[in-house]
Amino acid sequence: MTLTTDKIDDRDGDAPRRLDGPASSAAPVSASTYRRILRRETHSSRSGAAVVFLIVLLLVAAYVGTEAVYAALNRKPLLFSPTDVLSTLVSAVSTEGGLVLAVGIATGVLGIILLIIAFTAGRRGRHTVDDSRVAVVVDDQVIAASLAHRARLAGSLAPGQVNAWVARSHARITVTPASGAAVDEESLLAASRAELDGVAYRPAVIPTTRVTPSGRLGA
Amino acid sequence: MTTSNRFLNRLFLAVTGLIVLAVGVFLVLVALPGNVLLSWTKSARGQVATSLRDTPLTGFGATGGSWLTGLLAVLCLVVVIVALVAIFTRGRGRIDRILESDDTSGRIEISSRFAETAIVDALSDRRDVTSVAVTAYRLKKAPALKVRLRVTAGSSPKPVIEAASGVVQGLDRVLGEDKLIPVLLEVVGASAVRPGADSRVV
Repeated sequence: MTLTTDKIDDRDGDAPRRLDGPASSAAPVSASTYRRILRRETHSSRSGAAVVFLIVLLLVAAYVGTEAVYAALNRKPLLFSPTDVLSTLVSAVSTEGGLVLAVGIATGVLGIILLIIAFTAGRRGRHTVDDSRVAVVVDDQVIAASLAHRARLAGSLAPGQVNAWVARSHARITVTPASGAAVDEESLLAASRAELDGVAYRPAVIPTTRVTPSGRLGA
Repeated sequence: MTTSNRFLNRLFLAVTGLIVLAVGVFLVLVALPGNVLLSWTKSARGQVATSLRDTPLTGFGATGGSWLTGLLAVLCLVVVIVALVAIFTRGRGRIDRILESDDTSGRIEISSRFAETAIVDALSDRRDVTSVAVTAYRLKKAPALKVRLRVTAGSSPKPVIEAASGVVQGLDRVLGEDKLIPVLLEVVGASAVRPGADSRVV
């Protein structure tokens, strides 16, 4: 089967999203659906952390449940009976007060970490790109690689000489020049800007360049 | 993929965090010298011992233990079951039909393999694409496609995105344009083995 892969016209980088592509006249994909998809793809689901703590909870509950059965049957506990928690705590405070304090602080820090995981946005290193038909997310790694490539071509540099790093709203391109050779920073910056403007990422990425103070021989 | 409830994930983490934080604060306060919480703990210890003594298991299961600990065991069992269900219902949502339509002449079903093969075939010949993976999943009770494109290191994502968009529009023409399938295009970087590696060939 062959699919037509004719390109659609280039649009300006800042043109608003048109959901009805040139090929379709009716019932485009609703903007809210794509908003939802893109939000899910650019933010962490926190599933990993939730699963880790569900497993911890599961293990703790399984152990406490087993010990509770032993206590209900009036048997000797396997390791530690849940009915002895408070008396152990009281005796521990009088004999090992520092240990209880340390455990309390560690537990409190773990709780704060959990709350931070729960309430921070959890953005993944991704940018979205507007398209007339599909929802697009691009890994920051791809953006950095393309920037490094463009900058390297613009400056006629060797592969190891350019390093790019992309954050949410800015990118930094680090150039290590060959010793004794000047680097045309302006042209590198212009090339990176052209690359970024050509794709029109959201949120927009502003590039900066940095030339390392010490060059490298044989680069 | 689309069934894990993100709000519940965060709610679970927040509640667990609050409980863990409260336990930590309690331990710190008890351990601090001259605190009233220690005497409170002592009296609580006495009350726990009393209530355990006052609630013996009776009937044929009389073992000398308290039914409160039996209740605790049942509670723990419930927690274990809920946690197991929560863990194993994650990552669902994949489907194998992208189009189901009841017509007067009969029912039409199009397998998601059709869209997957079509998109993979149309894009995998590109030199700036190293691999294409397509999955269909359920979103808001309707099918949706996810196209994962791995591009070669250093290539600009723009031409790839345009080509993929064109391919999807071609697919629209085949599948019918009255109800478009939401498509997510995910452009990811070079090989996982050499993350961020630049290409040797310009």
